Amino acid sequence: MKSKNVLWLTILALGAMFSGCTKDPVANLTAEESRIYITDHDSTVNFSTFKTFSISDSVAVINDGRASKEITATDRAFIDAVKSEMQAKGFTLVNKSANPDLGINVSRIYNTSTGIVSYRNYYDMYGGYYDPYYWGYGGYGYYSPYSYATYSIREGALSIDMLNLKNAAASNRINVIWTGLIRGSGIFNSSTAADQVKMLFNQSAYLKNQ
Amino acid sequence: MKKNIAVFMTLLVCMLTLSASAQQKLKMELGYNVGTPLGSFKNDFISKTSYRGGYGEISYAFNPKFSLGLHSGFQSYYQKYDRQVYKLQGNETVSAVVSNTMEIVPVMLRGTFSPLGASATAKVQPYVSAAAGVSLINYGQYLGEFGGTEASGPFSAQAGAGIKIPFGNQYNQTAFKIGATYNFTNYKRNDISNLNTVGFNAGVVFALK
Repeated sequence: MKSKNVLWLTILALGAMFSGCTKDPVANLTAEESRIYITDHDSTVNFSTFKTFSISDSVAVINDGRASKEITATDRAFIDAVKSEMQAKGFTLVNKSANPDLGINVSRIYNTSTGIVSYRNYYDMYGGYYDPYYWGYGGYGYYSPYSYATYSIREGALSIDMLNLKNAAASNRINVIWTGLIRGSGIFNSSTAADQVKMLFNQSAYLKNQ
Repeated sequence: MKKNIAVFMTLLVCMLTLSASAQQKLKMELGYNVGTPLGSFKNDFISKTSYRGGYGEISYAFNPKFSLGLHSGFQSYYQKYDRQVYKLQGNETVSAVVSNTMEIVPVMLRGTFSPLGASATAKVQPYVSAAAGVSLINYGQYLGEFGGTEASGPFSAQAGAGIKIPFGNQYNQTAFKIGATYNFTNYKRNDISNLNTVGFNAGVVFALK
């Protein structure tokens, strides 16, 4: 019986040692490296048939399904970055009232996810981490009534949607013909906004009026 | 999978029972291992050699030339690829820094044949080995900080060869061991069609009692 315990302890110890030797891939990323840039588009659309565009003057903040409009310095930086990328691709910026061919919406999306972490595994070995002798009560056991904790993680993403206004009346709806989404760490930063938007446009070679 | 584990536990119990009657024939080997991916594992997932590895074995000598042991270890492979644009399904495109990880923990029965026998006085003694069992696989892929791991336990086999260099007194049969192994693991996932590797190991073997 005792040797069986020793065997299990050895396996546990080896397991702990092995997991300590592995590299944490997420910890080995910079904020820039942590970000992913996803684009999608309607492949039936020829983007060179569009000439003009307009962009919303504020950002929709979608917070766990509830939306509001905001315009912070960072939001402004993203809007300006989209404007200059679109102009570089050959589109002309016009006022919303001038019947633009394309409309662009920029949104901040926040999702909160909750979870539960169990303390059970941790307390079961508590006496092993903190010898009760240290507190002057050698031989005593610890008792903890706490078994789990809940946590919540709030994740933000930035999305840019391009709307087909030119054909909206004909099709009776506003089709989203291009979308870009940025996820990861440190997205909402005005100093990197231009670089982030550039990533989305760079991987969308078809998006041009030339 | 469950069946495999049951077979292993049975063999393990048999081995431990055997060892109780003749413990002087029980040996332990501990060592460090370097693993290099081959084939599809190398071309489609991780090409970098892993220097994070180790192994252990408890073996029982049935006769001076042949021993059978329970062999385990771990090897942790990791590679981070610079930012690149990938096509996903449909017209979806993603730009990401991809990190691939693969942890392999073999649990195998390994037979070792030493042609010179345990009582040999030669300074350098060759051996060959063959093993079969399962490998506990932890596959990980991350796009930026998004991703996760998935575990499985496929069939695995190993062939190896190397040399023993005894030191200390002959009765204890303590020796340095260096060798190489070819490892096959039956694994298919996304682009990966095998998990074959070559391992280079250095360790110490000693009698347990």
